Amino acid sequence: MLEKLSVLRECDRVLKRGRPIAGYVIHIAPGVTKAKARRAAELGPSDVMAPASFETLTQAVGLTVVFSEDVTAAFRTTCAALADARRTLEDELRLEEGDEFYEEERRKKQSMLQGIDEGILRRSFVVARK
Amino acid sequence: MADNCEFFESKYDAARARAGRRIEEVALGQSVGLNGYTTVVEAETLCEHLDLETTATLLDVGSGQGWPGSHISRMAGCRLVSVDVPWNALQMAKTQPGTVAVRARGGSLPFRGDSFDAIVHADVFC
Repeated sequence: MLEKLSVLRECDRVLKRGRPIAGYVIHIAPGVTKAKARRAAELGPSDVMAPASFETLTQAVGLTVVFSEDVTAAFRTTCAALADARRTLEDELRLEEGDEFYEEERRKKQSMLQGIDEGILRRSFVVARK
Repeated sequence: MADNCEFFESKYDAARARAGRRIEEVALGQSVGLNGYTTVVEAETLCEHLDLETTATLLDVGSGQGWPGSHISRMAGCRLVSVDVPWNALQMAKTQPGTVAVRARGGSLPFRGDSFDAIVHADVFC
């Protein structure tokens, strides 16, 4: 979390006043229990953030969030399509990526989909201004 | 974030990058060099919110091989600075016209204050 804060501080420093910073953030769904948050952290990307903490961090460095939208449905569609494609291409991917990398990527995609389907992982589009 | 450097270096080696392109073609019907989950439509949504003019300079933090910053800068006709740590990803990023690729950590950006007209990030803060 401290590194994320330091990255946002640097973004704030190099951004001109009044200008936007925009992007997509995968995060733990707001309002989940501590147990579900722990599960989301296991299923999601490494160091996935707690509910709403990206907006909190953004505001902590002095940026103002001007737009936020939940894009989890589109995220699930993309994630599922990528997972399906990996299965379709399994033989050639194992040759090019190596078995260990292939298995790790397959596991990550499955975990991500599991977290989305359990309602504990989300993706948001967030725009802030300096 | 820093602990993932080794993984991302390996992710962007040439064979895996080629494999990634084929995965995109099968999954999404086109290949743009996705780093994560940001589709073309989402990159275009980003562009709409960044309010970029042709004189602008856009910073892509955690750019990987250049997506989605490369698409946004092409749409807007502006300059792009791509910042990330894996060398092999930056080699791909800097092949895009109008792109400067800089190896740096997000927590220590080698730029003067108030340098950029907009900043984009995609699944960097997760």
